[in-house]
Amino acid sequence: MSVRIESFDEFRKAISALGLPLTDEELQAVWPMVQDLYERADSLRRILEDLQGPNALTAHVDPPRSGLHG
Amino acid sequence: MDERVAFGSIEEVARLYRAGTVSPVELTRLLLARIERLDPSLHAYITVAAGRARADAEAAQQRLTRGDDGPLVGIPFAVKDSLATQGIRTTANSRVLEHWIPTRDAAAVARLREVGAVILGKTNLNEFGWSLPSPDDLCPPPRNPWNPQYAAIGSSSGSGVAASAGLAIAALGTDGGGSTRLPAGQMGLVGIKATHALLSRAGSLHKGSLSNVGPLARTTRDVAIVMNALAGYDPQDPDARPHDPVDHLSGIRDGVKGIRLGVPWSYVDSVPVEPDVRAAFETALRELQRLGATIHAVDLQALAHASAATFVVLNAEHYAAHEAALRTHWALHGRSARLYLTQAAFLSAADYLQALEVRRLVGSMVDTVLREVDILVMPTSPVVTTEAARQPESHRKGINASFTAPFNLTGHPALSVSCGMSAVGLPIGLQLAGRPYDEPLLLRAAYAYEQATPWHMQRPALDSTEIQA
Repeated sequence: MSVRIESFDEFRKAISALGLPLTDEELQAVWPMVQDLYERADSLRRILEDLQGPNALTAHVDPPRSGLHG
Repeated sequence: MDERVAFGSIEEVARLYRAGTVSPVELTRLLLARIERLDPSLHAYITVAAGRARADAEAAQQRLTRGDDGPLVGIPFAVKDSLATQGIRTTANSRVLEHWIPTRDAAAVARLREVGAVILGKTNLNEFGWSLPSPDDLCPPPRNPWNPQYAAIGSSSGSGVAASAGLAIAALGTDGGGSTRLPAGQMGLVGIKATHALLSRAGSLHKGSLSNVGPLARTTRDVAIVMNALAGYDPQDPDARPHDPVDHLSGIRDGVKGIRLGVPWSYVDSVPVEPDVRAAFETALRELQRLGATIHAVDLQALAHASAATFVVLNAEHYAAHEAALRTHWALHGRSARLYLTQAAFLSAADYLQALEVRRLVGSMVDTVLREVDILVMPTSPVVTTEAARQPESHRKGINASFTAPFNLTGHPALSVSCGMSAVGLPIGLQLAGRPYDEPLLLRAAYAYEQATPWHMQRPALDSTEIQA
């Protein structure tokens, strides 16, 4: 599990440390995007368990069907 | 000259050249006049290289006079402004690069020039292909010529507009999550993202591992012709792999009888597909079945996992590529590009590597299914309009790229061919994806479908008086 920036204040300090001059409005706008990206990155761990674990997803093909919808 | 030539296919234009009915100089003049008349409202082009295009056209005319029978001699192209063009400024629609004039062509552009194509100019995109378009961009966002009330989808939006509005005969775009296939689908064109790095990416400003160069054209055969000119191993592209040359036109007329088409229904059903798209997709499947293909339901729910991995890889690679410029030229980036490029600053190396592992596993599952069926079929986009794609909740989840981005992640080839018309007058695309380096089979299936349906013959009803930007 990666260590995440947990709060907006932490985020503001981290951006400042990077040397990027975001305005307050830009910080407010990008913070939810960062959180969303964290969620996606965290979901990768669950996905890898799904894909690699004992109940791993497998790909398969059904026989031809006369209808279009599987 | 009949202005309808502006909507001709590459093959039709080449025939007119050989018959002496039209010359490259005349066609280039016509297209430049149309750009001057229509583009102030459509915004397809960031830079029009009129003088260079006229010189290219003169040179092409001389090649034709000498008997050069190359299929792209004198064919006017538009080129996305994230592909370097020697002597023509290349901005990626960013003020950071507003005055950059490359000294070398991108490999794909150099190849187009070698085979005698005419480069009309550089086409619009959202800033660096990774931002929300804004009227404050260096060049404002393009409108969709099929219904200019709507914005054109990107990121190769300008290339799509140029090719569909008769402002070029064909175009080059790039595709990192669907950016050639989505505009092709929304603007009545054929667009392809070939097997990863089959077309050299050298000289593209999109450095990431998901992005590819791809053509947008009016017919499947035109795309095959451009593929023949551009596909090939290029050691300048670090991801390129040696492979035998293929004739993408060979066998294109062989039809789809006996071809096994796989539909990942459970995945398609998990995506919020708009009713117009769903109806067009199901009608297209029935048509392909009528033409002799067999339809198989395939279980590929793993495609759903591609989304998270794609977002992490795209964001991490964009931040890495732009980190230095963000520090040195912060004020020159547009607001949206600042936010989009900064959001990945705090991802970890583990996040990126885990995304790459998901990429490998999903790719392996797609390979498994493609041992049982020949082609995967799905809509190109679940939504019709750019405005729907950019609804905050939908955009945040990347809904618009639900069907296209997985194949950037896995590297499999995929194309979009026109399959219908929505109630708001915008075209709808059908996506076909296949095995690595099996582009000829995708083109063969798309051609069979195209020839059996009317969609590729439709043109936007376009006149300057109709466009209200």
